[in-house]
Formats: sequence, structure tokens, C-alpha cells
Amino acid sequence: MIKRDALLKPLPLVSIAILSIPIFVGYLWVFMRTFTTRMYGMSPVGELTLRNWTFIVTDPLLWHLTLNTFVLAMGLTVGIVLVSCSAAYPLSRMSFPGRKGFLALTLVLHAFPSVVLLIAIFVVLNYLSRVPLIGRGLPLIGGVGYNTLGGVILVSIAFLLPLGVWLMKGFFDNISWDLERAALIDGCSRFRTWRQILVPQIRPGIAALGIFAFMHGWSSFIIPYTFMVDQQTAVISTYLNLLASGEQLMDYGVVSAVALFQLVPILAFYVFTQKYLLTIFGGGMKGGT
Amino acid sequence: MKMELVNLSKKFGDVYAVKNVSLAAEDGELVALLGPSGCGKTTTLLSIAGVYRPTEGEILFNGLCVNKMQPKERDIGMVFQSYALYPHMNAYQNIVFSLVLRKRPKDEMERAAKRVSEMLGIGHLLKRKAAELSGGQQQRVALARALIKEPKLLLFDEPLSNLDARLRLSMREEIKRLQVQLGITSIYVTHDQVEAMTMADRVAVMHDGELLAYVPPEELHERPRTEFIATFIGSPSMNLADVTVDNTGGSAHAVLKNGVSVKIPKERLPRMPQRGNAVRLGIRPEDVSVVAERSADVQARVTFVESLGRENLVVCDVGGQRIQCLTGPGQKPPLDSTVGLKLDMSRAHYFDPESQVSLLWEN
Amino acid sequence: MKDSEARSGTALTQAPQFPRRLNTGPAWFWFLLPAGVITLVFFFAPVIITLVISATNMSTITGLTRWEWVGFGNYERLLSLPQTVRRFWITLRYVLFTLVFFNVGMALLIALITTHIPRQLGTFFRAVWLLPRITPVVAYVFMWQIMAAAPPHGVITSNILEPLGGPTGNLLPANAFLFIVLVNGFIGASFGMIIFTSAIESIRQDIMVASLVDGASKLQRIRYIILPQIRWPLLFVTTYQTLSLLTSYEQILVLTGGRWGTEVWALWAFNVGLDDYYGFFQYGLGAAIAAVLVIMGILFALLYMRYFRFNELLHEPRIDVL
Repeated sequence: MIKRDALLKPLPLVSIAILSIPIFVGYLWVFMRTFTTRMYGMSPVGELTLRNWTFIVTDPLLWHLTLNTFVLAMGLTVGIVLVSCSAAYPLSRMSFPGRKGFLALTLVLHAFPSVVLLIAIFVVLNYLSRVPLIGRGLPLIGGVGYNTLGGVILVSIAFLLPLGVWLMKGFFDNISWDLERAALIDGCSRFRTWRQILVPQIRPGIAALGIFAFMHGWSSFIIPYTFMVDQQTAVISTYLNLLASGEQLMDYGVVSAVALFQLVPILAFYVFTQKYLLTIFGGGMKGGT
Repeated sequence: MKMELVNLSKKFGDVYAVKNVSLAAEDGELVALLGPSGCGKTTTLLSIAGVYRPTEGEILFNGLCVNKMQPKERDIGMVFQSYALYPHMNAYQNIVFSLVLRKRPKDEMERAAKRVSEMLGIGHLLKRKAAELSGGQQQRVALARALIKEPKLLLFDEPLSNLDARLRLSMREEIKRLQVQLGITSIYVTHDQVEAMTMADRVAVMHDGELLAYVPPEELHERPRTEFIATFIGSPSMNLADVTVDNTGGSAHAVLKNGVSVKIPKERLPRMPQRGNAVRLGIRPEDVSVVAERSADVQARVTFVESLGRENLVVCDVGGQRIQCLTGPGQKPPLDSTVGLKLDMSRAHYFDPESQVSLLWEN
Repeated sequence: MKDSEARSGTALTQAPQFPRRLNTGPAWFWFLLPAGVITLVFFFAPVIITLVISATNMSTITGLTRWEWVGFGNYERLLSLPQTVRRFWITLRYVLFTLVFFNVGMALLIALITTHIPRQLGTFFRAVWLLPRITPVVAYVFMWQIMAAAPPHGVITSNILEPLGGPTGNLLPANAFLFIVLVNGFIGASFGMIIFTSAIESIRQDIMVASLVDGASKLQRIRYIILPQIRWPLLFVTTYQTLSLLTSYEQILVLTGGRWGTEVWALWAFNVGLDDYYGFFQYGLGAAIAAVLVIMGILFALLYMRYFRFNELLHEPRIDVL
């Protein structure tokens, strides 16, 4: 009996370790491959080298794409935080006609498969392109129409919005009513209460949503891939896709380096912000569990 | 400032939280809203503050209807049970926040903050954040925040209930002292009758959203208008017994269910209810004493004795009727013994068993 | 403040400053405006546009201006196409396998294991399983392409199959279906994992201890205490992930592009409408294919409304000021 128990005890640990092997192997391979000239399976062949890295970091296109990716991620982060915080406040703490309907809508959109709307959104963006001034020709983001960074940011914000609003509403729900009442009595308008008293209280939520949005924007693929056709305006994801599925023989080393180049900031981010992120993955679904 | 509520009602959905409440607080008065939790006292307070809009009725400040005014336009200060200090600001920023919103000059703010913080003895704490203050200190900062705008009306929402017993006592005194000194009309919500009785000039007792009484504290205790007030005020609460009044043959007697009768003094004779002569007799535990069986009104069996420190609470059974009485420190009858009880009938109360209205005091 | 009497004396003259109100409309309107506009432009309009386009012959040839109405033509074409039935079965198989083995099965397994090993190890392995979800999709799929690649580069081929004398060559074309399940599964497992873990951890500790005191083994406790307690999260994850799988195609698009019999319904809509190799985008037909999913999405979403116990999530605001 004792022997059987002793055998069984490490079983959970062993089994999860085995199940996780593909993940470890994948990341390890990419990491190793960027520093070698060739690898057969998991074994490096040939000497260690920094050639892959020097090749990509001296490529001006990649830096341009990095800037684009950063702008996309930042735009999404700032946009989603602002719009969600603003919309979540009245949904959580004001009574007005249609509140219930708007909340229900947010919840429905939360589960709604927005990616199947891309064809229609293509039409919308095309239309927006023809709007003077904002459609095209804005600095940095290019505008908000088709084939602009701004358009991609806007669509990304839209897709993330139900989650953002729902999450922020949860955070607003938890603020004490007395705090807001005190502010109103001290002389704040509700707008001022929101900005000066409530928003500072939900900083953890803003951080969580912001981090999540940044990671989301940094890795996003399908929206830029669909709505940005020029390489000039594309992001690292689309570039990596181009490299990895190219017709010509792919250079595994370079592809790995680009992949890792995109992955490292996210991983670093992830390690430092894991605690917050868990609240978002779980928290967005709050009420469901 | 004089504050009046005229037929104030507040509904949440279909439920009345406050129902047809009318009362007036004279200038400089401290009015306590007293009642068990869920009785509508906080809703009333928040309506006065402008946080809630009344469903019906009017709120008058010096005769002027303020129903449609925003809280910030009402010139009020409020102290909350949870203190509600802004967590991201330090004590000073909390205190002067209302002045910042009114764009007062900096030196004026500093002077005002200095004055109120010295008044409350928190001058040395001004740089601390709310979380770095103890409960009592937070309460003082909250009080300072309410006072700095020199409000015309001060609202207190159970301000002491989160403090420990000793601190509560000293804060009680301090709030009352400040209120008298500054002469600001105040509304004070509490569920603690001792707080209400000791601090208030007048007490408004609320129950299920309705105002049951609005009288000075002594009157509340001595001349309760309803059975609810009689049992709610005073601790331990008043004994109640169903009796019939026998008014035949010169003197009146209250006859208990088991046939024992007690003489009712003439000057304390109740009106008779509309039907029959059955009434409910109420007598406070401090008006019942344990005496030698010879001079007793009734014989009783002791079922429970609890030491309250200065006195003892003796619970007795009189023919199935439970009666509590308070006895002196030396007087602690053994369990299950038979004792004599003397009822001080000159302090008894009588209520109509149907309407539960007092048969002694006019409404 | 000794002048309190004087102050209250003058109060009457101060009081009647009636609130001046700028005519700016209620605050809630402005707070909701940005979100409302975005919702209108990117959810409402697209749903309607999808349905409208699905009734036209719009394509790269007609452009956005010279199209014609075809009524239910696209839907009739859909019904007559031989691919339709095939796509339907592929989608069904893909959703079913991924859901059962990974999004629910693996998720539950990992949640159970990581709550039964030392805390820090549990946190570590959950973090590991979250990696695929946060990794940029192209980079992630690239790892799987390496796994499947032909020797000498491929990991599975050169490290496992070759020494065993198994088949060599790129594994992807021959086992494409297996790989789309794996690729999606390793991402999908983490969602359920997190929901289940938090559900298990929120089971009251006294019940957990009491069951062991009562003589249950750890396995019996899972069977009789934990699983019944997380019944509701199980149901939720199953339904939610069904919809997610039905409509997700990003990973498949990058991994195979739909070749080798892996073109699921949502990818099909994308390929027909927006990503044809020869640049011939049939918006009309693509929209019709997508519309099927839009309708399903709406139905599913309404279903959640019931599951989410919506009314319980609704707190009445306790401030009337607007």
C-alpha cells in the first residue's frame, strides 16, 4: 500500500510535465535557433552565431514595422482604456433610460464572434477612407480608413470594447457609494467625480486592461493582415507571416529571430504583469462562474 | 438654518423606502434619525443631501424648496459611516478638496484647513494618506472635511458605528460639543438609541419608512406614543403583558392572565380601548423589583439570571408570562427559586392591543 | 466661526440662487457616446451590411459601386455547392475534437492537477499554459510548423519518428486535421483552465477538508466534491468555447491557409470574401457564408444572456444625481 502511494504521489506532477513538453520544446527551439546557423531537430548543428540577430536589427524595414506595431498597440491601449472607462461609469453607477439594454448589449457582444464581420467592416472602412481629413492623411496613424493604421486601431478597439466595458464596470461596481456621495457633496459634478475621485480608485483595473490591450495589439494579426495591404504600413505579425509562408526557401534563423523579437517584449511584460492579467482573463467572465 | 421635510417619500422600484415623512429641524438643532437598519433613515438623509431625488414631497431649506438642487448647490457637509475619505489623497487634500473645487485662493485654504484641523486636533496628521490613519483619526479628518466649508447643514450617517466602544464615547461628546459651539443645524442618523438620546435635541424614530415619533429624548423614554417606541427605546426592553382592566368597585386593577391583579394608581389610569377592556401593560425592567414575598404584587419563578456588572438582569416566569427585572448588585436570586415581584405601577404604560397606540399619551 | 448666527440670518438672502444649468444634456449621454458610436459603426452596421451584401453579387469585379441584387442567390449557390457539406463536416469535427480534448478536457485536467500540486508549481504550470495564448499567433504557429517540418529540421520527425523508423517528410499535409486541433487546443485549454481553477479554489475549504476527514481519497474527492461543485463553470466554458471555435480561424489561416482539408466554415468565408489567392474577392458569397455564423452568433449570445444570470449582475445605482 505504502509503495503504491509513493508511486502515485508524483504522478500529477509528472503528467503535467509531460503534457507541457510541446510548449517547452517550441519555445526552446525558437530561442536556440536564433543563435545557431542550423539545427537538426532539437540539436544545434554548426557554430553559435549572432548573425540572425545582426541581420534583422540592421534591417530598417523591421524597425519601421516595430514602430507601427508599437503605435498600434499604444493606440489600442489608450483608446480602449479611455472608451471603456468612460462607458463603464454610467453603466455601473447612473440610472438612465436604456441602461439595462446597453448592459445587455455589452454582454451579448462579449460573446459575439466579431471576426466574421470582417467583410462588412471592410466596406465600412472603405467608406471612412473617403471622409475628408480623418479618412486619410493623419500623421503617425495615417487616418482611420482602409489601409491605415488608424483604421486598424479603431477596429481593434471595437473588438475589444465589450470585454473592456464589462471589466471596467466590474471595477466601478466595487467602489463604495459613500465615496462618490462625499465627492458630490464636496462640490463635484459627476464628470469631475469620475475623473478625480473614481478613476484613481480603479487604477489596478486600468493597468490590467491596459496591459492586456497592449499585448493584444502587439500580437494582433488578422485585422492588420486584412485591412493593411501595403507592406509599408504593416506590422511585425504580418511581416513574420510573409517570411514564414514565403514562396522562396525560408531562412529559419531569420524567421526565428523575428518571431523572438516580437515575442520577447510580450514575455517580459507577461512575467511582470501575470498577477493582473489573471484577473482579466477570469474577471472578464465574472458572473459566469 | 431651518430644514423641513414635507410629506417626503422615496420609492425604489415599487417599494417605499421612506413614506410620507414630515419634520422640521430648527436652526442650530441636532435631530437624530433613529431606527433599526432598513427603516429608511439613511435614505431620508441622502435625500436631504441631494444624493437621492424624492419621489414625492418637498425638502425645504429656510423655506426654500431644494428638491431640484444638486448636492453641491445645497451648502451641506456630510460625515459617513465608512468615513469615505478619498484614498488617493492625503488628509490635507481631503479636507480642502471642496475649497479646491470652488477655486479658493491657496492661502485661504491653508488658513481654513489650519483652523478646522486644530479644532479637531489633527494638525499633525495632515500629510498622511487615509490608509495611514486610525479609524478615529479618519473620522476626525472626515469631520474636518465636512466643517471646512462652513456648511449650513451637517449630515451624519452613523458616524461612530465603526469605532470601538471607548472612542465612540469620546467622539460622541466631541461632535456634540462642536455642534453646539458652531451652532450648525445637524441631522444625525443612528441605530444606537443611547447615541440618539444623549446627543439629540429631538429624536425622530423611524420604522419601515415611516416616522413614528418626533420628540425630545426624555419624552421618548417617559411618554412613548406607541408600543414599538416603548420596546425599541430602553435596554433591556420593556416588559409587555396582556391584561384586562378591572375598573369596578372604586379602584382599578390590572388583571394578568393567571388571575393575579395589580392595583393601578388613579393618576395613571389608562383610557379604555374602543372594544372591551383588554389592554397591553408595559413596564420597564428597572421599574420591577425583587422583594420579600409578603410585600410582593406577584409571585414569580426565576428562569434566568445574568450579571450586567453594575446590576443583575433577572428573568422570571409569572404564570407563563415572561418578566424581566433589574436588581441591585447584591440581589441575585438562585435559579428556579420563587421570588416576589413589585411592579411600580405609577410608571406603567398601556397600549391598545389592536392599534398598538398608547392609552396614556396623546399622539 | 462665532458668526454662525449672523450667517444663518443672512441665509435666506443667499439661498435662492437657483442652479444655473448649461444645456449640455445629461452626463451619461456623453460618457456613453464614444462606446456607442464605435458599437454602432463596427457591430451594428456590419451585421446589417453583412446581411445586405449577402444579397448581392458584390466582388472585386463589380467593385463597391456596380453590383446587383441577387436576392437569395448566394444562399442557393451555397446549398448547391459540393464543398458546403464537406466544410460543414470539417467544421463540426474540428469543433468537437478541439472542444472535448482540449478546451474542456485538457483545461479540466490541468486545472485539477495544478490545484493538487504544491502551490508555486501550480502557478508555474498555469503560466506555462497561458504562453500560447499570449504569444503572437504567427510566431506561435511557426513553432508548430517547425515541429511538423520535414527532417532534418523538424522536431517530431528528426527526434522521434526518424529514430523509430517511422514516416518522414513534412507531417503537416498528411495530418493537417490533427495539427489544427493541436494548435488551437494548446491555446484553447488556457481559457477553461483559468475558469476551472478559480472555481475549484473558491470551493469552501471546510468542505474540502471535511471530505478528506470523512475518508475520501483525493480521486474520490474530485469525483464527488469538486466536479459537482464546478458543474456550472463546465457548462459555461463548453458553450462559450463552442462559439469561439466555430468562428475562429486565425491559427488555421496561418498554419495551412485552409489547404489539406482544413478549411473550416469561418475561414471559408474569409478566403472567399477577402483572401483569395488570385485576388478575386467575392464579397457577396463570402458575406452569405459569414451570415450563417452571424445568425448563430446572435443565437448563442442570447443564450448567454440566460446563462449569465443577467439580472443578478445588475445593481441599481444608489445616486440619483445626473
